Amino acid sequence: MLFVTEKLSQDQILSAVQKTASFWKKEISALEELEACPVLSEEALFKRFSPPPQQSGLHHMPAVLNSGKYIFMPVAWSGSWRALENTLAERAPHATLGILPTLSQMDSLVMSVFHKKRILGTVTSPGNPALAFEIIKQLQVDLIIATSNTAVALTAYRGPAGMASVRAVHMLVGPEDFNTRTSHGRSVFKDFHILPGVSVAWQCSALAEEKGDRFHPSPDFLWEAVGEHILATSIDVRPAPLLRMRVCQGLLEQSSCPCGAEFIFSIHGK
Amino acid sequence: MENNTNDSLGRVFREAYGSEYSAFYRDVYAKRGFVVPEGWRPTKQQWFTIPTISKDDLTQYGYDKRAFRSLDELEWVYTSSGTSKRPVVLNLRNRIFEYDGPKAQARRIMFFRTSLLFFVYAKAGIASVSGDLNYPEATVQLAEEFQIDAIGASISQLRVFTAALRETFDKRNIKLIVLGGERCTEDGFRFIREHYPNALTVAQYGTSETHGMHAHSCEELARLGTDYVHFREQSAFPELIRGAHDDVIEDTGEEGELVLTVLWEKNMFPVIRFRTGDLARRVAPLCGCKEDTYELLGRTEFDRALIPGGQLKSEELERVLAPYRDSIHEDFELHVFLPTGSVRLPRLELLVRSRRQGINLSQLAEVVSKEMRVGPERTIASGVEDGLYLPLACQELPVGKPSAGKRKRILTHE
Repeated sequence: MLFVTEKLSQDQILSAVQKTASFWKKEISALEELEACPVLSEEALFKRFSPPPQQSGLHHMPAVLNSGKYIFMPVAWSGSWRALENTLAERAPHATLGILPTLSQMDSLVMSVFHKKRILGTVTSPGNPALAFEIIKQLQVDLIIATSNTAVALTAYRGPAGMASVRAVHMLVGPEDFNTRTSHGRSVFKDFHILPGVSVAWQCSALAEEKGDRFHPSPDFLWEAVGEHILATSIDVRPAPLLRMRVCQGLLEQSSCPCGAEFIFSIHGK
Repeated sequence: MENNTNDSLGRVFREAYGSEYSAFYRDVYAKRGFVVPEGWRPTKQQWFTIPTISKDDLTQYGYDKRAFRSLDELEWVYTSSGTSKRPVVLNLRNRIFEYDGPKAQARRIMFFRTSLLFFVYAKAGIASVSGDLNYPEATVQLAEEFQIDAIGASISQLRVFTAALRETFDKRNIKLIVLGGERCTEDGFRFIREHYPNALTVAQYGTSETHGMHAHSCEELARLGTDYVHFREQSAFPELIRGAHDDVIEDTGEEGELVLTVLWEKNMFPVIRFRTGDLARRVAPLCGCKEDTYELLGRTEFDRALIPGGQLKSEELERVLAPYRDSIHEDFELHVFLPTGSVRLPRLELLVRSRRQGINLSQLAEVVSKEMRVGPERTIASGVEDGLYLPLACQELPVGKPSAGKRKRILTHE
């Protein structure tokens, strides 16, 4: 079953997927043939993209710690972050603080979004919690952007009262920790990253309110449900386009949501 | 002061003093009894009478009280590093400079701070990644995968990074090193030449409170391998002042505290005569550039300490320790404990990191006492003999995590 989450014509989708497939030296003449492409493994992905692309254009190399080893992923610099921009639009925060690991390379992206959306905010690293709390106090931050680990650590550092002004968290979760619970009465908008820096799904206010693991799939990908697995294919050519990458086990369904998004997937497992 | 600079200074001052959004300067000046006549256009001599401001002045005003324009015009917010342990300053910015120093054809740089540097280098056509020296293994892996050919770091950070590098990393591929954040002495430049033989080393100077990069070495100065810089025309107006009384130093050679005025107009927060806490001196020209040349000398707080009979200087201690490089590492801390309670004399404690077992630290303390000058005719040892200080003690420096902040080499405890 094939789901299309962007309002593109079939021809436009086919053209985009053909570029992604040709990058992987596969041929696709009709969308149905996509289902014949093998599922991309993480190993093949990183092997293919090491060393990083040689073009001088800007790109990121965000990192995640996976099974004791750091993995870096080249990501095209777009200056935009759809999931975060969605949260900022829905929450309209007074001030925002990104508390992101330096190696994640997300600080410049967050600053770029703040700049573009005229958000009062800045970024620091989780290595200096005292600095983060001072910024929260001075700016009266009401929205923080953090990984699930950082959100948990900050709460432990001074307890929920240390972030009294913080009303919402835009939380970056990965396949290892999508079911994290650290709300302390705050709204938690989960932003699901399948690979370092590759945001594939997020929660709007309505889904955040559920406090569960239902997400809107990003329209930057073509989505498939194959058996219990949900697969994503990039519909733009980036330094590391995904070709039928397995996202998770779950259920992908068409559904109406107050935010206007037409699809939801529920995660059942990695 | 050139005429065009003088015009810029006058405009910045008039805008700051007359701003409809912020009373910051009016308040600060009023507290110090400085009265500004209406329509005042300061001459060069009058300029030097304007009170300086410090970080403490900034921390007393919230960011919104310092904003000189509507917050709708705010483009960026960022913070000071927090090295001083005083409250951080939220800095407001509506413009980002690009790196316009020598580039040595570098395409990919790694730096070690979370800040706006990504944009600074992007504007110069250099892609960048941030390393984190709390995770040296991952940082080195990233440097290799990103195939960096340039590094932006303080000399302390560069030493930590270099020590973590694997044999697979070819240091000869590094074309450019942009140094900043702390003083790099001769010893540091020697380290760079040994490890990065093909790198052009550019000294760069800026402060977060004054909105970023203001000075860097030109290509000629960079080739000399020194901490000499030129201030960028139209970026900041530099002054040197002597002591706590704002006496302006106009001569070449005398060390003083750098005072900066940022020359951008329409600034979110116009920085006027800001005491940076950094030390410098003007030096005789060493290149063909028309701008003055400044030698960067470190921090007033972390590279100097006043004690009876003179002053402790980190570069003097570095000179004394240089012959012992085979036995001890380059990093050290000299702690000065000022008299308190029943202890009536200052106590000095030197912390060093041994390279091997069995270093005689008592002997090292004796050598440093005899050789380290505190004044023209005074050493630590002579001060002890004259009853000015307690004898110098020497201990092992505890191994901690590498600091992302500025290196503190002399620390005074009150």
